[in-house]
Amino acid sequence: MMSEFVFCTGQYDSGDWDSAPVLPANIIDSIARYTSIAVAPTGVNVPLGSDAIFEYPFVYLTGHLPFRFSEAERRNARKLVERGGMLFIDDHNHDVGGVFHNTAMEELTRSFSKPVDLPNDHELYRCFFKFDDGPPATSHELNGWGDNLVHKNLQAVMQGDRIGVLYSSKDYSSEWNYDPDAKRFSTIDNTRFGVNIIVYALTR
Amino acid sequence: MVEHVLRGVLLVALAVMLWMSLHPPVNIDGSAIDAHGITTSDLANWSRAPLAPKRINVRFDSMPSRVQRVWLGALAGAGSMVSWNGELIPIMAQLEPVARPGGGARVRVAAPVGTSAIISDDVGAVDTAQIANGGGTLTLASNARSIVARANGSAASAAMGDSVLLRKVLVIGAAGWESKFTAAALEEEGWKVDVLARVAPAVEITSGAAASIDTSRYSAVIALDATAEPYAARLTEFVRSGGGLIVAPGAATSSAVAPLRAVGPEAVVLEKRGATPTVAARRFGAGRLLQIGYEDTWRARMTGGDSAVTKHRRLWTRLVSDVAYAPRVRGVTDASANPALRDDVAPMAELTASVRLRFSGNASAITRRNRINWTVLLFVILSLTLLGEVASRRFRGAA
Repeated sequence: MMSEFVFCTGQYDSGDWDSAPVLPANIIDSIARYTSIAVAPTGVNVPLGSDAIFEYPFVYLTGHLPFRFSEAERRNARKLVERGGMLFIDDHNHDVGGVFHNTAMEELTRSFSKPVDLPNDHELYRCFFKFDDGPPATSHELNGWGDNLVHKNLQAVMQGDRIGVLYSSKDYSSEWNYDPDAKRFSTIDNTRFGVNIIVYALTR
Repeated sequence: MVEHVLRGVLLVALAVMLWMSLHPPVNIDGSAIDAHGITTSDLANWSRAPLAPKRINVRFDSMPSRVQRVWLGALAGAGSMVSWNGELIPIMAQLEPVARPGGGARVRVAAPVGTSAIISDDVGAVDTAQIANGGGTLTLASNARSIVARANGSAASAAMGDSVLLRKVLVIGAAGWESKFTAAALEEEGWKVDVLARVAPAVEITSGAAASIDTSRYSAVIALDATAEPYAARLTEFVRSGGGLIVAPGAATSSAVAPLRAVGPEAVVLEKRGATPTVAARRFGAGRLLQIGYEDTWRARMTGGDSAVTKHRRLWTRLVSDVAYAPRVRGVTDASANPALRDDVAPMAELTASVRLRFSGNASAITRRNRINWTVLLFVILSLTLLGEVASRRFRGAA
């Protein structure tokens, strides 16, 4: 029996890593709903600095507070990405001048290299659902909250020709942090881009 | 006075003939040469001798060169009884390309059981092959152009004449860590990989140009799970026509893929863990099937130590190399321009074939011709001197 995909939220020491506790269940629901990918019904929370993190090649990180890795977290994050894993980091503040964004950019630059804009025709936007305009805007961006910007691009640290670290200032952590049952009230499921991120991580 | 001179010459010629009959030249005509090793100048002297040696026995401490062996064979062919002895062991070496993008060479050595054969390439010694059951195999990471296998004074050499033509590898499996990391491991080793990953019913993601499964496109296919079911018929044809197929546990349980499992009396177990086979292979048509017992190899890559990624890459490269369809491309090796490229694959066999088997050759034409020359020369001298003496007597009127 092949192993299932397990949605992993990474715990890091410096901030509020658990600021979007319902998001994993929502993404898991979408994966099960739209794909045939074998997915575990519940996600896990795993310390980034522990060896157990390597059981989960896809790790989701979010928060509002300063984003700093400890030495063990930095070492493991590098190792995970070098071995073929992928980190998805989302700024729960949706604010490019905010503390999370600034510290996360510093940390990523220190741990990997400076993130670069991901082209909006990247494979990430068409590997399952099609997003012709790049990353879908969130209601928080459209409502003018945070930095009052609709961020045109996601950022990435590339590992060869694949994404090693995907960074978002769009606040998907707020956008997707609701009970999956509430999807029935939506005309368009706004977690579809989350499915693309998982499919990309599993196939590239 | 003239008659005395002629008679003197006649007597000298008779004396020479008598001496030659009583004292044949050393090493010639019936004499035995017992040499301890030979040099090219020895061979040249024996070949230039007026009468060819009747018997040559050489004791070898090391394998004679190909030139020396052929030369001895020529002497045997010319009528000399050539034999040899010594403690030389039979040894054979073969060098062939490995079917993997990074190149490499596989060395096969045959020698008596228990022999340690030292393998050297163009640069120097690279490894030692322990001979068990008459043979030993080494895989060299480098692209050796030629190798020499040495053991107990014997040496065999082999040159790389061919290269292999590799095509892509197709990985078929559900979207998941195993298909992702299997493809990654192969790509990191230099393979060109297409992935056919199922992400939803009737939705398959392909990377590369995954399309027709045939040997003009792919060297090998890896079937990871039941995603391969709809392709079972195409895979059967692919393997039958020479392609390589690796069947992982998730695919082996599929009834459609079951005929392509490496089971049955013709299957060969290549690897075991305890009593449980972990890798087995069998031929199927012109191709090869490999069934593996490994599942979730990605975990070893992600959670292992510093060398885990390298080991994961090598595992998949080795498995694919074992079955890959890799037609040989004949290389151009100019042996006359580079003597190092000249094969000497089985020197003992060649020595035996060129010397012993040609031992019972016909009488030596060279020997016979040389004897006739000397005899004729002396006969002419005798005849002339006798005629001269008779004529001299007649001219002066003597009876």
